[in-house]
Amino acid sequence: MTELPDDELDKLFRKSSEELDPQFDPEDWNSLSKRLDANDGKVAGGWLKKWWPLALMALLIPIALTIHYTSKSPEPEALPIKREVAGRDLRTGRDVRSGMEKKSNAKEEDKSNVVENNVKDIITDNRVRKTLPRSQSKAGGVYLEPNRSKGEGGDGAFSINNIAKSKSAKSVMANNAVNEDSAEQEISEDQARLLISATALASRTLNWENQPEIPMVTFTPPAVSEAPKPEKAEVDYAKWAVRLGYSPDLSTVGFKNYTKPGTAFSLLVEYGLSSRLYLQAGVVRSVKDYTANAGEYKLPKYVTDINTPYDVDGSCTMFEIPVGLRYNVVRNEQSKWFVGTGVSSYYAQKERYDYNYKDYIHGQKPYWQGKTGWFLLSHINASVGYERTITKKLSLVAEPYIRIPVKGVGYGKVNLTTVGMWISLRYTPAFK
Amino acid sequence: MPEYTSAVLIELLDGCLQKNRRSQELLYKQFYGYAMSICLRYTRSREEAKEILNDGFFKVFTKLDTFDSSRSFKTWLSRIMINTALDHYRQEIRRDVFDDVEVADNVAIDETVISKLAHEELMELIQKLTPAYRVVFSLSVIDGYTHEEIADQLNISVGASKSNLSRAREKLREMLSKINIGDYDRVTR
Repeated sequence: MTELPDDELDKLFRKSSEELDPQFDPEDWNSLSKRLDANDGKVAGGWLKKWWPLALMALLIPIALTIHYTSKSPEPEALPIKREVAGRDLRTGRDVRSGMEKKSNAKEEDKSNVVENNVKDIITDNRVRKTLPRSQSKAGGVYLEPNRSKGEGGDGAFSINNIAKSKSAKSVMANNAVNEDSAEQEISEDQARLLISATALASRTLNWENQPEIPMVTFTPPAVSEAPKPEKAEVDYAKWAVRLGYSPDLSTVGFKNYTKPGTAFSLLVEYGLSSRLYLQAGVVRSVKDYTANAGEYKLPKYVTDINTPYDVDGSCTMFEIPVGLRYNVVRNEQSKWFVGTGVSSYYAQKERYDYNYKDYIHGQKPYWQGKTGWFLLSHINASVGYERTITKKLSLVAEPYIRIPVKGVGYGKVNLTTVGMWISLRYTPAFK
Repeated sequence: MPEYTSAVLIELLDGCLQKNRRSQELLYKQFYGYAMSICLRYTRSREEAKEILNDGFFKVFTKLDTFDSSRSFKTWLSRIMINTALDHYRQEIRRDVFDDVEVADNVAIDETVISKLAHEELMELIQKLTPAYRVVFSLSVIDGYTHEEIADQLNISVGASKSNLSRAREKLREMLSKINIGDYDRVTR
């Protein structure tokens, strides 16, 4: 039994420590693995917690597009017919005008032939063969003929009895009938009353001598190149719009030391200065995680007097007030491409900066936490974007952006650059 | 050590940088024993050591980009483990009061018994020390820190560091003297 000297004691424990080889316990790794998964966002719940806005968008977009395309009703048939009538009117107007011009120079027979031919054109054209009910006689700008019954001193062209008995009216009914039975049916008085057809004029010669003097109307058909623009372009120009957006927020100091992206939510209001130019303003709430080297972060003296960190991990909750302009470069009925620019002011609501040291010095400051408030006009914004119409009032916007620092923000006055991509829903209220 | 310069290790570290979970697991297994032996001598139980071990490896995997690959990975790892253990110790001393044990003078030890003690038992003796003695003993004797460095790390005077080391040694001698053959047989049975 002897007293063990210091060096022997040290040697004993040193050797023991070096040769100790604890057995691996899989449970230890499982525990760490779960922690790493949570940190990397690989846990399903963790992923959803962070990226739920994107997941929601991914769910909503296909639904909205499906609704949009499936609910698109075909255009009413009346519209092309109306256009045809209008086209016919235009054509007739052109012909009538030529007939009128001839009136002053050519013989009377020629004039009546021209008008007769025009009338026959109308009668034989299937697209305008349908008779126009009296109740809709003013629709589409068609002029309602005055009562020209014999009792009123007219030539009886629109006498109901005449129409009912006329062969041409029957032929019209036959042409419009969908089956033979209906073609053979006699025309009732009610039908005849509704049948105000140009067919009655087919067998009649116009009496130009008894015609009241018709004022000369000069009609200038619009040039093809000057065809009116589709109404959609006019309707599309809304004065006000609201945008609700989400974006991953990738903040960096000097485009290095990237960390995991934060999150940003935005509420923007747009006011149309013209159909292409919009004024934008709103509020953005973002969480910015970044790492700055010690030289890029203005360290206070009370920190560096003790120890100087080699870098700083920042995590800041910020409110941003962006004001800018958006210009629609390309405008289609369903989509737009645009560029945007502006300035942003930041309000640092909650800041935490962890100082990372290479060597420990007692008394060193581990972190700073607090808020530093407003940093006016600290960033310039630039973006490009694509907008896709979902419904008349709703559209989806994808807009990559960058915030370029003009001056430092936060406690360390860092020149913080932020990039991201807004995924926004844009709502256009009813008023314009 | 050839292991931390080997191509296998470099490949593992590359995988860990890419956050490849399989590479992380392999690296963890590869250095588990080494790291755990460090953690054990700075803590009072295996559960506590496990907590520090995983905290340390978490830092390794999340801060691996700061590792200078021209240097020894094992040294970097041991430094992280020791720093993590010291962080843990600093938190602990806010709660605990050091019990300054009375140490018996001239403790006699049977060397034949000592030679038969398992490494685990010797480690348990270190774990039985008070936190202040344990940390100073581990830093000084096993990890080779000077008293000035220890004083800086633990915010104590150099004299206190020397005193703690001396008392830790005395305490270990006392514990060793209490171990007899019967205890050894019981433990190793």
